[in-house]
Amino acid sequence: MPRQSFVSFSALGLISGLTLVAAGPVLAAGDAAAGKSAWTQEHTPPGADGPRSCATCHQADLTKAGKQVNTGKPIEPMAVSVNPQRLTDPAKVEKWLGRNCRWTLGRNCTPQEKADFLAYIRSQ
Amino acid sequence: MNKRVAGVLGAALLAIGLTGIALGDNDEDEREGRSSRGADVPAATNTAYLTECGGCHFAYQPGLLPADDWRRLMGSLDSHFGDDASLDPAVTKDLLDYLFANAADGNASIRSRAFAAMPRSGDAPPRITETVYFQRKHSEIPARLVRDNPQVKSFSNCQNCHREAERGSFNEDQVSIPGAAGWKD
Repeated sequence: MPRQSFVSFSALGLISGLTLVAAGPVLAAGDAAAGKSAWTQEHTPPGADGPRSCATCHQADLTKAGKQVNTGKPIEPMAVSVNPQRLTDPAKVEKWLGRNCRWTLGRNCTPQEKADFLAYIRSQ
Repeated sequence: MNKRVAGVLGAALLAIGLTGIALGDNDEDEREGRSSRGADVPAATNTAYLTECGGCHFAYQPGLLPADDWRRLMGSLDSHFGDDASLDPAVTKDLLDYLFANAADGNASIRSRAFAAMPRSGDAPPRITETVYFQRKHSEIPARLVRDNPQVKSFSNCQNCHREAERGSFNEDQVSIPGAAGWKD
């Protein structure tokens, strides 16, 4: 039954999209409160000229637009409530979590940390 | 017209001509009588390039650096002027193909040829702002109008002063430095 298999395939895609950062045997459930507190936690990775956090570019209020700290280029709000395009493209989410965790924390985020950030962004 | 009238007229025309030369600056644009209209570096049109590179900064036209410099830049995206700009290898390759096909040493535009002919020197990561050509064109701009100007911040922000920068037009007559009304070199 082609129709049914299409539906199952879509459902599978949606699930893997929502949990994409938790790829692996265990799917991490995101904790929005943990994500919120990690969002403004400051880090000074090697080579940084001062403390940084997610809010350095994105602001602490996710419903507001941010600004790339080096170039000043505007960044659309992260909150899904005001920017429905957020978290709709798994490849884009992976790319930015990778870059931004390394820039901010000096390392890759764990699947749990990523899931927490996503839960926080989704809740805003 | 007798000879005397012609002589006076000739002297007057010569004087006007000399005044014009005295008032002009030394920029090649004017000296070589280039058109001040139209894009002089091919505009960046590749969608992936505009999205991936233009997401964080002005999408510098490929024609602003020679192919070798683009190769170096794209080979170290994980450490990109203080940022992590890592990309999927397949995307990097596509962007590099686009950059190579349109690099300063691979297109015929006047300004691209100048960038190719006057590149940077040394082993530092390639910066358009450190090419000999760029520095020559901006040597008369004091730091207070750029680095110390909160509305400009850096020479890397082409579009803050070059109003037509996105189209690839960097002619002097469309420059407007914010917060520096009426400034002329």
